[in-house]
Amino acid sequence: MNTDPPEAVAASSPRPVADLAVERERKLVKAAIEGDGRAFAALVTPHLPVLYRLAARACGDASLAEDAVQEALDLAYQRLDRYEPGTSMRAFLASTAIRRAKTLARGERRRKVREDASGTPQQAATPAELVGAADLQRRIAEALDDLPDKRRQAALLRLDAGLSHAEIAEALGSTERSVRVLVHLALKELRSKLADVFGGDRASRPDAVSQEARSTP
Amino acid sequence: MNHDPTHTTPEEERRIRAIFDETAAQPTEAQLARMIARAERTPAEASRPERRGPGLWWIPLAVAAVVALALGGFTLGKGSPTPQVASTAIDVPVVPPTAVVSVRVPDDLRETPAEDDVFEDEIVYPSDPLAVLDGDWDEAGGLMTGLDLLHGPAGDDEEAYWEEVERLMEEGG
Repeated sequence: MNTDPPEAVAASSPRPVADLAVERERKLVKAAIEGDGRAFAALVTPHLPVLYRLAARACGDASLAEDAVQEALDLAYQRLDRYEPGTSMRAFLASTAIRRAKTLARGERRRKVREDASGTPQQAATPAELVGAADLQRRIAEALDDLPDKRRQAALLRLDAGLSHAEIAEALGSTERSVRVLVHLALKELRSKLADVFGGDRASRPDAVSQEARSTP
Repeated sequence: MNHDPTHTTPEEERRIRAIFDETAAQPTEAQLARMIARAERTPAEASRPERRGPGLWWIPLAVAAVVALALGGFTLGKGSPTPQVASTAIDVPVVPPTAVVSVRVPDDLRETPAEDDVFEDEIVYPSDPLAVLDGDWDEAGGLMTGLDLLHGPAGDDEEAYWEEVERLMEEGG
């Protein structure tokens, strides 16, 4: 039988895992703000694959996606003092990555328009572009592009980043209820535009959603 | 309110998410390594003087130059300077008014049956009211939240919605 006083028992009891995680994150944020690069890398590394996925979906280009993520990291670092440990670092980073990707994609489109106008020979279609999987990605990208900006961001954060409604609200500076509406409307439009893809069984979908397509946005 | 009978169910969202998972891009090992390396360099690069830009020392000089131009010429030498104040038009940014509207949560969006029937949502007066009339929510710049729930192609609350828009336009006019 434990005869220790209650306060001693409480003091020796292990802290909840969640509290320890928040404390660790707080220390990393503090160290990063003070200039510790490894601390900043420790904060963001777990989220890099998702950020890349978001950026690639938003801009449709592998090298642009990487640039977008790197620029998003710069911007996130500048705002790191506003991040509250224990909330969602992924949400904190994700919307920035999407915005940077769209900005870079716009710049790339303008560059291509200038090249076309100057008669610069265009790059031939890559093998992946000729495969059906790339066509599916293109159709998804086009359907997303047709969405209003906030709706598109909500869809990406939900479907690619896997954020909860509350996290999306935090990322977009909106309310959770509004986000539920945005996600609902986005899914409705995507389902409508891509009915042949999302509806029915897998056999009715276009072929060649292949492993190769996963690394070629 | 008439609800869209084809609303997205959780199963449909899962199906859509599965397609997104299958078509998602993944970084290569090399890309991941570069991004991690960049993250490690970020604090150091952020503190570099050339990254901080030229600094803000020029602002007071610029302000003084603008004020001097606005006031016109000064009389130098004997006597007090008599600045001539020219009339200037100052553009004040228009802060769009906000409104709090009561919005009913559609049945298919409630998470529990007991969820509040009505909630208050703060919206920003549309920057382009004509865009609202055209149903172009993005251009309207702000009616993406509460009023979306009221508006719908077949919604029987559409009359209430337009009354609300007119009220907002009158308030902001």
